[in-house]
Amino acid sequence: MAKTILIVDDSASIRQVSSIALKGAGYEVLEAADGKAGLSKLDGRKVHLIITDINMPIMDGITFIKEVKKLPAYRFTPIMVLTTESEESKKSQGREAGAKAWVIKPFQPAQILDAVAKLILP
Amino acid sequence: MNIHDPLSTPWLWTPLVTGGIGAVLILISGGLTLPNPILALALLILGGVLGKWLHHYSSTQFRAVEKNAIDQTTAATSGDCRSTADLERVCLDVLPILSRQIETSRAQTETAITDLSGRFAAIVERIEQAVVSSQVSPTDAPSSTSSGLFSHSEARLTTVVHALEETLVNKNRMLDEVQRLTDQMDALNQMAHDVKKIADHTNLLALNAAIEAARAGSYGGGFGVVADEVRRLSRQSGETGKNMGEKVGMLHSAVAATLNAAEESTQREGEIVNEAEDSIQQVLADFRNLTTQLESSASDLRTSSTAIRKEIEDVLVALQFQDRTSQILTIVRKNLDALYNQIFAHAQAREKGGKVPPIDVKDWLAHMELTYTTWEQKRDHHHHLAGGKIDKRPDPPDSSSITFF
Repeated sequence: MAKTILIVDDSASIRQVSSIALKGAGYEVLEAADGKAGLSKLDGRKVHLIITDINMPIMDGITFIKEVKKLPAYRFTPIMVLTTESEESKKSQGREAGAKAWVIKPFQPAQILDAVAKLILP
Repeated sequence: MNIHDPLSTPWLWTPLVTGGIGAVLILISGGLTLPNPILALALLILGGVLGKWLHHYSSTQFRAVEKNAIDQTTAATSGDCRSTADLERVCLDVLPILSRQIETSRAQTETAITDLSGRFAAIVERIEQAVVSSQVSPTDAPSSTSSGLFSHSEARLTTVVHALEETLVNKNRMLDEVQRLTDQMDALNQMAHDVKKIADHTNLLALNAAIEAARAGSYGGGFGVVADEVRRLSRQSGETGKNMGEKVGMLHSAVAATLNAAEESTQREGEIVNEAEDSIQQVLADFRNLTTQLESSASDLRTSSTAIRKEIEDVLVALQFQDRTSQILTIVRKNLDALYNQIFAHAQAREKGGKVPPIDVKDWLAHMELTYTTWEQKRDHHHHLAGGKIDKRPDPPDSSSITFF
């Protein structure tokens, strides 16, 4: 059965690039445009990995990660950050919130697939 | 302006003192005799008048200069205030327009790039479906591929040819049986011929018996009757043998004609089977060439489709610039809005005559730097602060690396 990945990013083009790469590798993909929509998208679904941007309207990525970690069903779901931010202080915020990996945009699809393969448990 | 008191200037006292000194020197040198006292007094009065005139002149000039200076200062101060107010008005009018225009261009770019990337994504999906449908799965039926279809067709057509050949062999076998039947008919014909010969011979013996019976006279009467009966039977036997021979001959002719027609038919059928086999082989050869070409074309199509898919994916990766520029423009707009608010508050305070809050430029720049999300923004920020002479450009982040926590 295909693993499910949730992509949370306000940029539709970023969601599309990520989605094509992940679907091409056999993953099922869910999409949301901000953190609040991402939380709604979870809705009890089995999600094996979450990929989120940091700078988003309505609910930013750091808040979204913290909110996800409060949900018992998703406490151990790995979260990967995909952002333009490269500051170490921002990375620290992400790590403290509960992120497991940090990828800087622009990215190559192979990078994402490599990181996803390492984060998703077989 | 703090103006120096012109009375304290030496213009009044210097001529008076000089005149006084001159008067004293005249009295000392000339004594108190006339006209020395008159000259001293005149010199003193001249010094006083000259001092007074100089004092008046210098005061007049000083006031004129002072007035001019005050007028100039007042004009300059008034001009500065007007310039500041004008600058504020320009900023308050221009900044919202710039902010709106930046947001408009950002939104238009985002819409266009999103639409473009969506279309590219749809193309990639269609190509993916085409490639998948053109690929042969190991679980697919052999007939679903052109080469499999060829092999399948070849096997079935070969089976048909073999069936025709088998039919031909069976027919030849049947003709052999008919040929053997003809041989048996020859033996039957010989037997009929033998019957007729026996009948003729019996008839001759019966004739001799009848002659001998006639010679015996009355004693041979009975024997003569028997001999006549034997002769009649032999004639019947002979006719039967003759009829048998005729019938066998007719049958032989019919079978021979049938056999001949069957042999001709078999030969023709054999030729037809051979022609059919040749035709089938030719069709299969043409079919093989066609399927080979089709498979080659399909393979080329798959290769091209895969290459096109990769190219479009690269384009989609390149379109990620939109996300980056959108973030930069959003932050530029927010900082322009913040600047507008600052200037608006400044203008309000100035117009109300209250204390105008000072602007800490360093604090303002530091706050602005905190809003940056990309390394290019930091680079441009520091490049400007360095006056464009020293490039304090930070190194771009290594986008190929992934940080795992």
